[in-house]
Amino acid sequence: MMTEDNQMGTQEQSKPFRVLFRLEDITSSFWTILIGLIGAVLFMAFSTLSMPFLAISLFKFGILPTIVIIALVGAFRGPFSGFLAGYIGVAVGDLLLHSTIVSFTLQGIAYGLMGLVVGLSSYNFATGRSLAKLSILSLVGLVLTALLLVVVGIVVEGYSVLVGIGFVLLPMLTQGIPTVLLLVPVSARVIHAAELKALPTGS
Amino acid sequence: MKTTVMSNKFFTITLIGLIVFAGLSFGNLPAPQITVGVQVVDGVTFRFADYMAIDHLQLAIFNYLNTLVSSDFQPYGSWDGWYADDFFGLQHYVLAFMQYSVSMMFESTLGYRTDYYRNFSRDLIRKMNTTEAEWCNNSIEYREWSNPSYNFLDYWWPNTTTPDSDDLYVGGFRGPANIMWTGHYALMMSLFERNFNTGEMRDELGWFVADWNNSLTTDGFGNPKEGGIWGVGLIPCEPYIVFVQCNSIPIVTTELYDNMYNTSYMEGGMWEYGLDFIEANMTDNYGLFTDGYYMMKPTGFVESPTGPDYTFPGPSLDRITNDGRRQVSSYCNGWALAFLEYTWGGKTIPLYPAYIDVYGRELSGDRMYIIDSYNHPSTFGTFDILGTLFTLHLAKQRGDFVTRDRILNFLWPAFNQVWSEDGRTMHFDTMSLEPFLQSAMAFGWIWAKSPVSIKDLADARSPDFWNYPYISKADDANIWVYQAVWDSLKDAFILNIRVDATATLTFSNFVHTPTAYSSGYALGELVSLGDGFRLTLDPGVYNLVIK
Repeated sequence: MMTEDNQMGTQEQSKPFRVLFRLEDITSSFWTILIGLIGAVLFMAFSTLSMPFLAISLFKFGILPTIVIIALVGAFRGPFSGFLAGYIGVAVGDLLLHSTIVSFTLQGIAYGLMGLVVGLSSYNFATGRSLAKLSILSLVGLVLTALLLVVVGIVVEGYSVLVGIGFVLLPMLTQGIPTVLLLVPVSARVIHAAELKALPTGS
Repeated sequence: MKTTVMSNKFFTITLIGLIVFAGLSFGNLPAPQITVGVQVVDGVTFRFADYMAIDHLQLAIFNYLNTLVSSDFQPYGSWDGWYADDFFGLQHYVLAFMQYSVSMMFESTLGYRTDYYRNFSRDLIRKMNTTEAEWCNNSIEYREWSNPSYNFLDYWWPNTTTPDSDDLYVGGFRGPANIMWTGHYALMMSLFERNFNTGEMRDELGWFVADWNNSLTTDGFGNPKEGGIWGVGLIPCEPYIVFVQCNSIPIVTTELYDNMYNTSYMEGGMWEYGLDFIEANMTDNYGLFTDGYYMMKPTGFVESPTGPDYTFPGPSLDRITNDGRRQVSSYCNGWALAFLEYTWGGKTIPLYPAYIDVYGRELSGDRMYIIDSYNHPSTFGTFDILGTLFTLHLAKQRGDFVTRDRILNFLWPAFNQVWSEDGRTMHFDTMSLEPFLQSAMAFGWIWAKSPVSIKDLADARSPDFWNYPYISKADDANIWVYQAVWDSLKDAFILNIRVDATATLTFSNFVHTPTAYSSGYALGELVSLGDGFRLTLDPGVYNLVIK
């Protein structure tokens, strides 16, 4: 039976969730969704770029700017925004750029998961420790994303394990790991510095 | 801001690491895009984007292929850089499909017909026709046919073991039961004649077409027989099995031969029985083609105790599932759907969506590949790559450029681009995966990207075409010809060219001294010579209208 105390308790428990997901009120929710959508647009834009790479034997090395967008949106605006950037970026990007929806948009969920994981923590971009935390959580998000992509591919799309490992998992990791370890913290720091300059009182 | 940013050791270290890593992995950038402008000359507007074009990468790849093919680099029976020693039985296919690919490229700049392209095409045909007598075990004849492991030589129809006077010998390399070589060889020759019109291969080509007609409409001795020698209206390979894909090659050849020389083999019903046979006996539940039909028990065939139960004649069966399913493959369909479209578009075009649906597998929005067989979709190997390569051209021919690009994104970005020091040649380095793929991945790019498909090439050029102005001589080693075509409606030659070092081009067939225009302004008249008109260009990139 629902009591007044229980109801109050539910409200108390929901508060951290809303704060964590930056959905405290209408204004905050608006900005969270807007930034997520802007991230999705940037994701789509970066996905059209032909990035330089180097193949050594069967390993492909390079930078993936798309996952930087997801991680940064998650880091700066929380998990919901980060998830939106990844999910909408992949799902709508696939539809607009390639006229397809792959695996019922489960791949979008895989990418959104990265933004979600990164956004679960808060960061002080002025400190190296926090930037390192950002790198590590981005790495965790990346690995989860890559594994989920392969699982979805094998189970839903039905492609071979060899293709999943050789053409999805390996390139994702050999390009993604340097990206999240190097480019994500550097970009976060630069954006933070620009933010401080544009908004001297902080945000 | 700079101070704020740099006052953090972690940031500084990661920034240095990023710069080092980005520097080390900085490569494989896209080749320069060609420029296509708009010009108005004498009140007539010329939009270069309206004309067919090939890009810088395709030309660099062609220059690389030339080092493998041209007799200037190696004799016909040498195979340096082909890495084909472990792929004897496949090598001639590489030669054939290379010819089809470059023919699409030649057609894209059909007003550029110097020795460079012509000699390449001729040398490729000569490599295809290397004989045991001259090149021993390095010949295609040995590698494709008479290699002892194939057991193709002692073959008579219908009796394979005790031939008597009523049997027909079909075991020759050039004989009626080797369509997997004769078909390709003849199509290579017919494309050469279509593109360059020298007449030098016409007789040999005509012999093959007549021989096929004899095989398909008579008992082989000239007596009319429905379904031909083997009663199926198709010509076998190996030599006891017929394939849709292999027969699609001589069908295109016959169409083109009829179109070029005003013969009527197709109208005469040469292939009708075979197409009906395919429809009735070589399709699956989707209406797509199955991969192979045995007209007889193959010589030396040993039925595996754990394999499927074959009946002869009957369809080839899947050897992995082993439950009597027919053998199906994407390479069979990707190939046949494209090459049969000219003749049988009413059948093949509606099958394309089903083909992509059944055989396509999506890795992401921008990447997909084609599985070898839907009977066992979770395996991956050579034939999946083969099916993927064949589908590139089919998707292009169908105008499905989204699928074409998604397939390109699957394979090619895995390989480094290797450019020569002078920037003239480029190939994709496949050595870590499979060296034999190197030439195929090179011409595969042209196969996928050139704006012409095999269906276009089945039409002959109009008789008027040979009177149009064209580039007959040039300093080919100094130029990149992206667009070259005579616009017969506007009476002007369109030339989009990059010049590395001062180069001269000779134009033939102009009936008056032409003037070259750039950006709508006259650069000057071409210089009249005995054999045409000469244009000299300094290094640079030009969009020229010549009229």
